[in-house]
Amino acid sequence: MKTKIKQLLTKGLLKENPVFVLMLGLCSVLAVSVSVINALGMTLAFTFVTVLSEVTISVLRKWIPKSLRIPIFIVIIASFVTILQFLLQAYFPSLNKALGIFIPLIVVNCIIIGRIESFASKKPVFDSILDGLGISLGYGIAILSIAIVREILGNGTILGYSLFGTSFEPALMFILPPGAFLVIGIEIGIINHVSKKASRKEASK
Amino acid sequence: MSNYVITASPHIRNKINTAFLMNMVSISLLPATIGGIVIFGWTNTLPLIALSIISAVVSEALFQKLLKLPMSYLDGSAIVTGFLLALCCPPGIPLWLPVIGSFFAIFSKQVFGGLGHNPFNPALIGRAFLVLSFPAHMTSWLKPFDVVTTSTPLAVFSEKGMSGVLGLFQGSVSTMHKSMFWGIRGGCIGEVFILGLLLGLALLLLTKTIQWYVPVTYMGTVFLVSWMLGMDPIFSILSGGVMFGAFFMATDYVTSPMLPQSKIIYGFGCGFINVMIRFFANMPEGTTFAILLMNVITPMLDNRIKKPVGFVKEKTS
Repeated sequence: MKTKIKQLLTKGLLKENPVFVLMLGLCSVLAVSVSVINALGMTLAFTFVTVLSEVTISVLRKWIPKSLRIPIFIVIIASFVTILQFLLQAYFPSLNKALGIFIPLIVVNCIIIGRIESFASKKPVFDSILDGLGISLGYGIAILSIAIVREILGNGTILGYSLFGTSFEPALMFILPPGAFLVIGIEIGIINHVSKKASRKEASK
Repeated sequence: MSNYVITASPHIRNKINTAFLMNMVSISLLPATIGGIVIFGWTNTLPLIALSIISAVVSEALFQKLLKLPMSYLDGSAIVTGFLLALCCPPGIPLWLPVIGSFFAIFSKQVFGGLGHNPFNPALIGRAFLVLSFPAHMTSWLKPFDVVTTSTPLAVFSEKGMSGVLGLFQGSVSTMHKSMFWGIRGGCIGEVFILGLLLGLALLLLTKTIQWYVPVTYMGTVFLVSWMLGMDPIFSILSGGVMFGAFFMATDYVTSPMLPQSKIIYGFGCGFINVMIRFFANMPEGTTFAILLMNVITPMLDNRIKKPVGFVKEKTS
């Protein structure tokens, strides 16, 4: 039981990381990773929607007819996104403004639909909670690791605090779209290199 | 490609290799470089060029060491990259800019597998990186024979039109053409001295380092399209980095097509996009991005036209 919990929680980190390995939902990752604070906000929003919709669908899984499942999934995800949007508008209006269109776009985020289709619609509730948390963790680590590099190089700050003083001139390109592609490409390259090395080591044992 | 025939030995061999071709490019750049140094003063140009070349060679060595590749950092290609990048920077910029730019240029080549595998011209990637990252530095130009900052004729053109440009040159068209030919204008180090660029082109063509297709179609397209859009065509080919790009950047072996037909399409595409950026985008000059965009479709151009040697196309029934 314990190993199963651990496995469900950690598989999103590297083995099935939704961004770096499965390369899903890249649109919001690339656009939102301009600053660390936006990335944190996006991660929390993503976790909220993923966990709650996975739980709901896992509870309802026996009553959802197979032929109608996708519209039902979308309606459930969309209702949680609407709740989230109202919460953000009420309590964090600046974050809501910074994330903009990418909050409503969580509805069609393929990571969430993918997890629901392949996991939550077949597995019990407790497993689905863990799965949602694990995947959100992987998503959060991916988007934060991109955002940290981009904010430091492109703005010279981290969470808004200046790191290098005023004489440092940040390379603007990193907070522009090409910087996002560059950073995600390099990080995917490093991760592939490391995991290939690890699997080779395992094979030779 | 069509000239190659498969025969038995003996074969003719000659001494042309990567180092020879790359050194030829470097030598052909010298006339324009000397012009730039004279026009903008050696303190504003020489340290920049030297640091850019050193940074390119050191980064190449570093990457080859890290990636455990064969060490070929002295074959001249890194020198050419650093040299070209320095020549398409404005004179008098802070010296750390060319260092970072050269590092990034070599990086962009090595991530794709080194010389011969890079889809984009490394020097242009370095320049694009600098322009996007530090726009304030990369658009501050020095006045010739002076250390006062000014703007390039093209920047003036995109703001005030042709009458503004003529105002820079005492209102006379012939003065404008003459002083632009001799490089008496604001601009990058390597692009201003047109006579030097033409000498370099002659040298490249005479030593058969490059073929005439790309420079000629590129310049011809810029001339014709600008003329059709109502710009003085001679001003259009003398200004900005068009000539520098057409002679030295667009003819890069790795990133331009191989076949004559595809070279002509490539040259036309570069020229057309270049003029379109000048007229309709919010940048005064578009040589960098025109050539980079055409680099993207270079493999397609070759594959569409090339007929493989020794293969018969299967008949599809």
